[in-house]
Amino acid sequence: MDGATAALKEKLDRLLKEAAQVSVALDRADGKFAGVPHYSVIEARAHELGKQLSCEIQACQMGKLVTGRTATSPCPKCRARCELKPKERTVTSIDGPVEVQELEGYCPVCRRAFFPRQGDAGV
Amino acid sequence: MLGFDARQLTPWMIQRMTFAAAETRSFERAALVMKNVGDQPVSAKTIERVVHDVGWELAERRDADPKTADVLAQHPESPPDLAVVECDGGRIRTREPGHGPGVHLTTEGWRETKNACLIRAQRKTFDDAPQPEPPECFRDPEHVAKIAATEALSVAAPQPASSPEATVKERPDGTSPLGNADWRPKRLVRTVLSSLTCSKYFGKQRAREAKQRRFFEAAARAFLGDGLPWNWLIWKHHFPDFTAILDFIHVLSYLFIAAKAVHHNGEDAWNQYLVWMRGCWQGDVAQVLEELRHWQIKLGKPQEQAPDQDPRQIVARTLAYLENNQKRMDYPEYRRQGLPATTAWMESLVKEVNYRVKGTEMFWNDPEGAEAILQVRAAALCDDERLVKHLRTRPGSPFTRRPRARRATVEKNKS
Repeated sequence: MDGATAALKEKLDRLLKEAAQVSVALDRADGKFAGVPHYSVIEARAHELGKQLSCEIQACQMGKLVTGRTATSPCPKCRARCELKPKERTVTSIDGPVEVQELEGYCPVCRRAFFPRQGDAGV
Repeated sequence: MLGFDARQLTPWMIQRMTFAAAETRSFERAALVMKNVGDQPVSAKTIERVVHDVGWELAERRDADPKTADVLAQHPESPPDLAVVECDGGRIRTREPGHGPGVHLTTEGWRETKNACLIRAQRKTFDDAPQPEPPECFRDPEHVAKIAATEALSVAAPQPASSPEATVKERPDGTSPLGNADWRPKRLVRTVLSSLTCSKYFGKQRAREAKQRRFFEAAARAFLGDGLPWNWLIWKHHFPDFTAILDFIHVLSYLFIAAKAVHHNGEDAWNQYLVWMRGCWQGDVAQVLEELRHWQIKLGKPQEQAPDQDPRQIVARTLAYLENNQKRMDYPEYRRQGLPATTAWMESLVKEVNYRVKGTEMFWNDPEGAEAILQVRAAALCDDERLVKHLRTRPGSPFTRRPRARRATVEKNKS
């Protein structure tokens, strides 16, 4: 592991710990945890935050993938070269709905929008 | 493209839905599992549609050219020591598709499914046939009556129990009911095929799977089935080099029913069954046939319209069954070579398949829905994790689904 990777890992650990502390403080502040709660409540809240983080990571990864990619791609049906534009679409993941950025083309010949194939636009 | 399909579900979401649908008894139960175990509410209808898509993708890959990367079965590094192919039929209830919700029976209602398991196994060989005496469970009246009722004809009724304590599942010392010298092969890797297709195409499916898994290069090869003619047609066309073995359980149930038919006294019938069953187990099928022929002469030949329960009919049917299959009944030699003598692996597999596809109020669209669930269930029952591998690599769709409401509006405006 090089220095940059180690620093990033350390930062992630620190941020995760901080996020956990903020989450606990928030639950205490808004009165969700009065007294000793049933552990299922603690578990559900923690899991909720995990899902939120998962959706953020998925959206972020997709944003990075779209940035700086090819501007055109052939239509999967008629192979006509079409312009690509980033488009937001909602996909359902195991952690809930995620708004992801994806390159989308529109073929005027087929009159149909499409998502480019892996080799065609690099995504 | 990242493996998103037209439904805008992520690959892991599809995987969870597919497995929930494959392992529970209905799409409604799968939706409950998704909600309460997977923490992701999704409708039963969506799960059904996903299973339909995945099922037909699996069917395409099952039939793909073995030279391409699309093929579902994996090519192992080395051929198996023992390759076993077993097959059996099943039945599911179908309905006519395209009539909206509710059950619309086709003319028949029931459709035959064809199931097969291909097993990579390990065996031991012997100088002499091990276990010359039949297993204890085949000498237990209650157990045999139960087998005969389920495995062959519905005319068999349980014999009065001679020893209620008799059990075949366990012994006090924990040993196998087949004795200490267990000659039976050990199962290593099982793959499963299931389809509504005809026996001709099912035979091709099996041959493709066997070739991919290097079954034709195995040191020992066995093909097992019951007496159904299509089993042996497939064997003849695709697996002629495999040792053909008739399932001993079917033999046993035929003999039990025949013994009951020729003797009125329960004890005499049981003793007769024991003699015949032991004869077949020890490879003396010719002698058993001789005795059955003697009984046929004594009772007379059955009349054309004779009922199934007529003793003459039962003896004639047993005779025909044994005569047709005599060359597949060299059980001492199979034991010596460490080959299986029963389709026990297949019987247990059929139960696993039926758990998902057969039951009260289970009707499948014919053939789309039925074929799709059979593919998904069969893939889920394979030991090579082909379903997970398929779901993690499926290419997805370059298109999104067109919203149905908009399309309906367009149609309406046109009219």
